[in-house]
Amino acid sequence: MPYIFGSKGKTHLKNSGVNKGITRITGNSSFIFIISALMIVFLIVYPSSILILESFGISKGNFENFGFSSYVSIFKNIHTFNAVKNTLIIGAGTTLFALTLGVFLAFLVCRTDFPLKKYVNWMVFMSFVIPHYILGISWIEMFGRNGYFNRIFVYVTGQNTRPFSAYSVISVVIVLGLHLYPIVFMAVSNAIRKGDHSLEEAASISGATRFKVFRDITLPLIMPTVLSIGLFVFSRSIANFGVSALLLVPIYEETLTTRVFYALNDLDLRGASSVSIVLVSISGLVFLIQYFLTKNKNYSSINSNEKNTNTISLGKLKYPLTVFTVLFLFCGSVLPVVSIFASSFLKRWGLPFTFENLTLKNYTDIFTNPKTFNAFSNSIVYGLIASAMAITASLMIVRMTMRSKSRGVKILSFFSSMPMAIPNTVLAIAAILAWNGPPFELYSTPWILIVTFAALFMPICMKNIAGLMEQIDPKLVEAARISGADGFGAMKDIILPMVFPGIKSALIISLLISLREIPISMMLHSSGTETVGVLLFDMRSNSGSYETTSAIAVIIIALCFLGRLFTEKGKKRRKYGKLSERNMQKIRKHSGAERRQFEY
Amino acid sequence: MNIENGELITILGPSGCGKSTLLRCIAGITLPDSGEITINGILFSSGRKNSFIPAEKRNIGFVFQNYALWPHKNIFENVAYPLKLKKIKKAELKRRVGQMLEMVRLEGSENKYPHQLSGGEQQRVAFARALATNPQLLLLDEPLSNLDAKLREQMQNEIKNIQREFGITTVHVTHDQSEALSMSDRIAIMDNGRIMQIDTPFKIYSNPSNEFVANFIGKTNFIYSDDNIFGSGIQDYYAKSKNVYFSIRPEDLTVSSKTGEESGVVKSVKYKGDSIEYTVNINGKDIFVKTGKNDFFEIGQRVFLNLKKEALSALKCS
Amino acid sequence: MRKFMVFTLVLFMAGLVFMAETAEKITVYLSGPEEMINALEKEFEAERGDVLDIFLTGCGPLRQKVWAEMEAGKIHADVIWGSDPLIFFVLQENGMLEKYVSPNEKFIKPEYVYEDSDFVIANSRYGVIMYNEELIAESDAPVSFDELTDSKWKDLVGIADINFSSTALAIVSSIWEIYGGNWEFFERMKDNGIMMTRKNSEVPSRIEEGELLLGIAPHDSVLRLQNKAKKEGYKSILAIAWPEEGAISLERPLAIVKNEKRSEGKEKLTHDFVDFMLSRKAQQITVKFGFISVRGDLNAPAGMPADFTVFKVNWKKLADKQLELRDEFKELMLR
Repeated sequence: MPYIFGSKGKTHLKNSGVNKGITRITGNSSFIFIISALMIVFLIVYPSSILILESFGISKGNFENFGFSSYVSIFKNIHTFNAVKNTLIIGAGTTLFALTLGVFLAFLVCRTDFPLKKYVNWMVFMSFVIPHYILGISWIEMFGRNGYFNRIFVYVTGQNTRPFSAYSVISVVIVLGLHLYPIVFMAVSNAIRKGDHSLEEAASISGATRFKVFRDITLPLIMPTVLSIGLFVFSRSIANFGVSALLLVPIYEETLTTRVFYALNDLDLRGASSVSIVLVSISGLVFLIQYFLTKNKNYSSINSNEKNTNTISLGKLKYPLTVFTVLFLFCGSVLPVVSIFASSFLKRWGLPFTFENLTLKNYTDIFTNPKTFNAFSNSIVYGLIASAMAITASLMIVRMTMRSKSRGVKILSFFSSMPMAIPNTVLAIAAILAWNGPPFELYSTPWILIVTFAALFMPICMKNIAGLMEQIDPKLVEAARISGADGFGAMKDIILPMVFPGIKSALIISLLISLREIPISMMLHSSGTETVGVLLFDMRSNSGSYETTSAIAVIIIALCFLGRLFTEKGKKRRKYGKLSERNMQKIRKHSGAERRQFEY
Repeated sequence: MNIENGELITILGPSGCGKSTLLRCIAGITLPDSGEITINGILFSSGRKNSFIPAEKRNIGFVFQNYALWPHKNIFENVAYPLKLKKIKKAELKRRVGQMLEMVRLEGSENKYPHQLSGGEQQRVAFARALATNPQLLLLDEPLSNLDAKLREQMQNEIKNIQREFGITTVHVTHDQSEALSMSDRIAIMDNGRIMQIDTPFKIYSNPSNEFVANFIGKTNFIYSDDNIFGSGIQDYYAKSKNVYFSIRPEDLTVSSKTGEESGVVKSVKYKGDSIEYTVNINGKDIFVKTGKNDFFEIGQRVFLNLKKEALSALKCS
Repeated sequence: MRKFMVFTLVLFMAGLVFMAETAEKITVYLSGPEEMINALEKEFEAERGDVLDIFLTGCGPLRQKVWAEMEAGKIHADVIWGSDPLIFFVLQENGMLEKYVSPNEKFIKPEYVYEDSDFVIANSRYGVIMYNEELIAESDAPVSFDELTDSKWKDLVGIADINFSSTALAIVSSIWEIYGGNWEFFERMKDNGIMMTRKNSEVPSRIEEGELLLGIAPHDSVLRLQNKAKKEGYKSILAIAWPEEGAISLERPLAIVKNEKRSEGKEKLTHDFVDFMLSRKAQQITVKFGFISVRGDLNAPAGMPADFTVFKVNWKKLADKQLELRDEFKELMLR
């Protein structure tokens, strides 16, 4: 490398001839370091430190109330135990459900002669696109007391009993499971497809039957992927707020995230902080386990170029399995959309579907109501500004991690991906504590939403950009420098165009998140800064009716669908010529992580 | 194509010619579209599904190009796995694995994992695994292509030694001609899914049966009747049949500055250390010549070529 | 590529402009039906131009926001129009409110006048029982809160969650008072599987949608939903049962936040706004949306019965106990 980052004063001998250049570049780099460090401290480190201090009773530099009392009272409280219990049930249940379904489908599609593979892919994509809160609403529309299933039951049996109930911890598990299994499906089918087929062939030649090949080779090989994606699903499901609020509030059950929200409602900031810390500890622990698991057991191997011909014949099971799978997926991903779509045209949800009960008013209301319009434009503007901030910081940090292995840079990149382990509810609490009062008075301005969104988007932007940046051969930059480009020129002409697809998809994903994010929007919005999330969670007009919410949901689903198609398309195009095997491996390593980043 | 018991046959051909597919068909990983595969008189595959014996029942050893060592199993487990599937008793299994690892000089590495071994060591483990069950046939799918040149040569010897020691029938697939020439009892040259020639390495090199083989193995000059050079030497052949042309290896020509059958001008020189290669232009046709390391000529110099008669090999025009 | 950078830059600039403060506008925190607020805003701004910065949210988030800002020592609003008096007593106690006597106060009925208060009651509504009249015949419908504990209504009665709704806290506290200051009623309701909604207006919505059969909530949203049904041409199935114990009078206070630094122009606007809210015109608008006017010269909204029992809540007493009541109720309801 012709230059190095940092102020350690090391210079490579072979470049001693261009010393003048080096000093300038090094100076430049420490400038970049300081700028990005400031951004990360401002966006992430400062709010989280304030949160931790608050939980121990230290607020605004006041140590008088220091102590563990809030933690003690958490663990003394029987309801907290219930909340922890519910949270863990939701985490474990969702993980189990999503893993079973995802792994099963991945095998069905990648490894058997299942006939409708294309449709399975398509339906999985559908579930992937629907925001979980909207899935929750459609769950109520389907399984609520007057939901479509109960109505069908009453209609068919003629009895006046309604066997389905929408509100329970299990419902949360199913809704989140249906929302998260596509991530499992994609990661596992990726692992199966990209895996080295010769490993399985070697086993078969060694005398192993199909079943033994699966048990002894295939399963252990995809295990690290399954485990790490499982842990990811776990941490996402315990971080969930919207669905829990939707399906547990009516029966007065709590999870840790709703408890944080309630504590905030009661203005028990210290309580909210300490429950947040408990929540973050669980999810941080999960990420730590995941980190070590994937670190020690990385089986990524050289890709064999042969197409895997080892499809297992399903035999007699073929048709029952097909019917079952299609039916299940239809219920899990097509019906919710159909239900939301149908409901959005009703004059009043709950009315029978007759022509005179249908209307377009729910949609015209959205477009004519200035508040709704404002919410959409707020979400988009905040999302854009926040992602611009996050992308700028990510570009600088990723660029530095490529050039330097110094501790400062490592710490910086650690902090910038930290929000991944922090539930949105907790980010919001930290933001309230950090930005409500001197030295930073951002509360009740749009900036509190923007900086919190920026923190939320940081890991996503990092992953998307790092994935592409690592593909860039340092020699390309060196070549640009030799051709006479300065540091900025090389960045602008070589690096930016090459990572541009990553920037674009980071931007789109961030925008989609800002369009559907609920807890941060709910807790941080103020007069005029309402976002779509606020609208969705708290429909003020027409008394929180499902038909209006459904209409908004249809628009969000459509936007998500478009955005997703856009990123998928971009992903295909972003390969630059032939890449070396090593780089391909890196890309593969990242593509999984990146997909996971799609959500939230 | 027939493979004799105990011989090492190499299938050689350009990439994509179907040599790996042939190997996979023999192993039973790929289902052939047509044709029969018989081993020791037993029909393994005949293009019809019902007569297809799956890979796990064939008792064949296979060494993959990338070795296909199971990353989640240590060396001992890797080698022991095929034995375990044969339900061999623990003590015997242990003894056998020890013996195999000793053979490949990896005793003491039992508890290591594949990623902790070097490429050459991984390769030897793959061998030990393939041979552990005493298979009736050993298939090698370009096992040396991922090694560097020095190590490759060393491994060539080792493979040959092991093969000879066990007397195991071996089918080896490669695209490296020098590897094929030095290791094999016989070589089968393949192109586009067809076998062009099966013969001993010597015959393949000195007496290629067609232009593809001649061109694929080593460097050669093709001389056609209308080229009108070396006329005296090859007239005899033309007398027998007009429908032939000739392949002349560069080392079968001698160069002299004074006298010879044909004269030409040196067009380019390649110094190779142990030899020197010249391109000589005779009447507008470029002829490659290989000389001893001390025969120096300059570009533009007029030289004379002589042909060793016995080295001529005639090819039928297609 | 370059286009993209320019685009981002433009967005940044747009964002900055977008965030620039606008002068001489007053901020009003309020809750209530959006259409009503829009109508009031339009009416008030008709002569004055765009002078209101309205923060409209649910009554729960409103209470939470005001309380948080009160604790932080600075309320960012100029005027607050709440959904119940509980928090206003605390605000007054903390000296956060500015006393202003509107010339329109003389039109207010005596029962809505609080002596020595820094706020005025702008309008009111009643906490009542509502039910699905298609599935429950009028003769079967409960006539008192007490009847809701009947096991035939198990899992079918809804009330707003006090975690999300401030009015719900007001209703729950009032029923606590009706039952002589104990939780026995809610204990029985808990056993009867009372369902929680996130907002008061969700209670009639869920009844109309068939998720619930009965509920306890303010009456105004029922009237609005009935109007909506009439306007859009479908049959409303909502009915109100006026409880024997008395409909809970949920008064909605209006107050000016104390701020010595407020400019004269803004100060005048806040006074104008209070005057406006107590004016006949504004009161008429709220009546149209189902609320009860505080003025003596206006009729009750259409659809109200001529006579029913009203339970006059001692808000001052409940306000002093509100945090305890809140915690006790949660403790009771949590599983």
